[in-house]
Amino acid sequence: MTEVSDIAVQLSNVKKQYGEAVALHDVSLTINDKEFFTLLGPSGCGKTTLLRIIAGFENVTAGSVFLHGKEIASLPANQRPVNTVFQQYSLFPHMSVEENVLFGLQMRKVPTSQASKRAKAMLELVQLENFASRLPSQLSGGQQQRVALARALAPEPEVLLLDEPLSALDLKLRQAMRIELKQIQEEAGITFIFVTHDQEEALTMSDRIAVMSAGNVQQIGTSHDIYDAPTNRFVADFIGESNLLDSEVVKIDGDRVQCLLPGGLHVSSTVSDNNSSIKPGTKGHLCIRPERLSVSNAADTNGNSLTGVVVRHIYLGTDTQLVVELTHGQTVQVRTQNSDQGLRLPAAGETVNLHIQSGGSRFLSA
Amino acid sequence: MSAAGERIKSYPGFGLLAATCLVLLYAPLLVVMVYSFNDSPSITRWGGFSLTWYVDVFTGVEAGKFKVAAWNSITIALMATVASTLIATSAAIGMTRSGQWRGKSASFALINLPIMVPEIVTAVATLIFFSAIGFKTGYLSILLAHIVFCIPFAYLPIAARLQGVSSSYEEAAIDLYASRWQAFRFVLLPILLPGIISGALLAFIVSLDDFLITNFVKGAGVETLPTAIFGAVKQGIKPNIMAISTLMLLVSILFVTVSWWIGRIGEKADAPVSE
Repeated sequence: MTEVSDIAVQLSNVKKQYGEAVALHDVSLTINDKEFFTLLGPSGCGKTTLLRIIAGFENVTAGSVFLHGKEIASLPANQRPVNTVFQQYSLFPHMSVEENVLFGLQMRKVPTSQASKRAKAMLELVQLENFASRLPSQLSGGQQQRVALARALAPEPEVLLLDEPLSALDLKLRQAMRIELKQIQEEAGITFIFVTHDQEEALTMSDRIAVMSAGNVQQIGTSHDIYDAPTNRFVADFIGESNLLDSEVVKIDGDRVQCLLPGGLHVSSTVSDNNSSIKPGTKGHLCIRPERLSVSNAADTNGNSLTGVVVRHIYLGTDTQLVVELTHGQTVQVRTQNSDQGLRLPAAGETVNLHIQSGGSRFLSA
Repeated sequence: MSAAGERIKSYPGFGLLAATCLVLLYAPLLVVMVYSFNDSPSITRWGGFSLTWYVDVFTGVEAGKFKVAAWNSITIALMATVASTLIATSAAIGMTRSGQWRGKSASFALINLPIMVPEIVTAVATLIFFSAIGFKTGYLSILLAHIVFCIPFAYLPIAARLQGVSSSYEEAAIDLYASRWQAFRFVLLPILLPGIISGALLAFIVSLDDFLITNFVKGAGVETLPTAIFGAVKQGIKPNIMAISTLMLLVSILFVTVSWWIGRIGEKADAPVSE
């Protein structure tokens, strides 16, 4: 259990409605101090609304927002010690890079000499100290992004909010910025709340991730948790690739369950710990990641293998992807690393046995 | 751009059509400009180059009348510009930053209606209105009428610019601890300035050369430059009218050019975020 002082932001039962449309149903979550916390979800899931509520640009319909233990729901945006990096950066086009970074400090009436020292330090942090007198329009997208970061960090906010800040950059730059952002967060020692629809971004940078959909938080956990131990079908499907096979519980076996697949096959799998409602007869899905299935030539009779016909063999450079139609009609994806030289992968049309690696299957009731 | 330019030139008949348009539009102006430098008092016979009529404008028998009229025109135009630009800026911000509300389209139409209503109708209506409320026609009635019909001309460039300015600039300012006023003063206003200047210049020009409405609401004794010129022309066209017209044309061209140029600088300064 964390101490209250270790909690940067706490949302309790936050609801947001626009007329009839519900943007957030009933969101409660706790973000720890100095944590890199990500709100991840498809567009329209409410993640940006949640960020704007913390920033103070939107009012809650119901619920409370606490910043370091202090209720801030009624505090206007310009009095909250949080700053935002906007999706389109929104750098003031008529001000130089330095003036942009100084803006928040001037509004806070920080003495001039102290402010310019702070601005200089921020520009050094994002490695733009030589660009101080340029206009934003004279910078590349990546540089503008960093100015936006420096500008938001300059007034030493208690929490930094980032609204899909990397989405306007090209792939190479985006990948480089992920690592840099994480570094800057650690150096600055500030809580980051990062909004994205890009799961790779979320998995790379975050200490913890809240997966959202349709105005609800679906799961909160580390990158490992949400990838390896999704608690429901949405998370399993949204994060990475998943084979979701219709299945039914036949037997509870300690912390594992025996599941029945439509073809009559029994598979032993893990189950989410908070799912006490699961009992024999519960219907759901068996989630198996494509890389947790391995091709084996010999038929495996210990119960954790599937049989099917390869319908597609796709070479992807580092990996090969197989699309296999199982005997009962559902298709699964299989991913194998190509570095395994000795292994001959089956071509389309061949029958294969797919071994489910230990801990590689998970039963999801919802 | 250049490719399209070359293509349009290769259309059959383009040259002829362009030449016809140019002649129809500019030949009369050219004649006025050329004859303003005529040494002869005739308006059709060329008697050699001279600046006589320009000197006459400033020192001749009618100089006093023109001077008063020009002073009226300029002071009215300046005040109408300031007032209408202020109103137009507030209206533009109100219209673009207020989200959706009932009657928003109707308000937009109302703001811009004066451009669409035939000017003679506005002129007659304004005159009737002033006399109905017992408002004495004169300098003040001209000023009020000018403020009103200048509003849409100032509004359009400002609103057009504001449409292109994302509200996230103001949000960013407020996020960085600015009050609403500071967000407007330090962020929105400078970004909007090219649009505001464009709008103000347009309003100034429209006010400066308005004849119809002014003529209706000016009352006896008060003249602006256009009504003074019209009055002089009624007693026969003298080349000094051409000189005045040429001077006014120059002022107009100057203002329109500056307005266009400022608009372009504004566009360049905040080229949208690339990549």
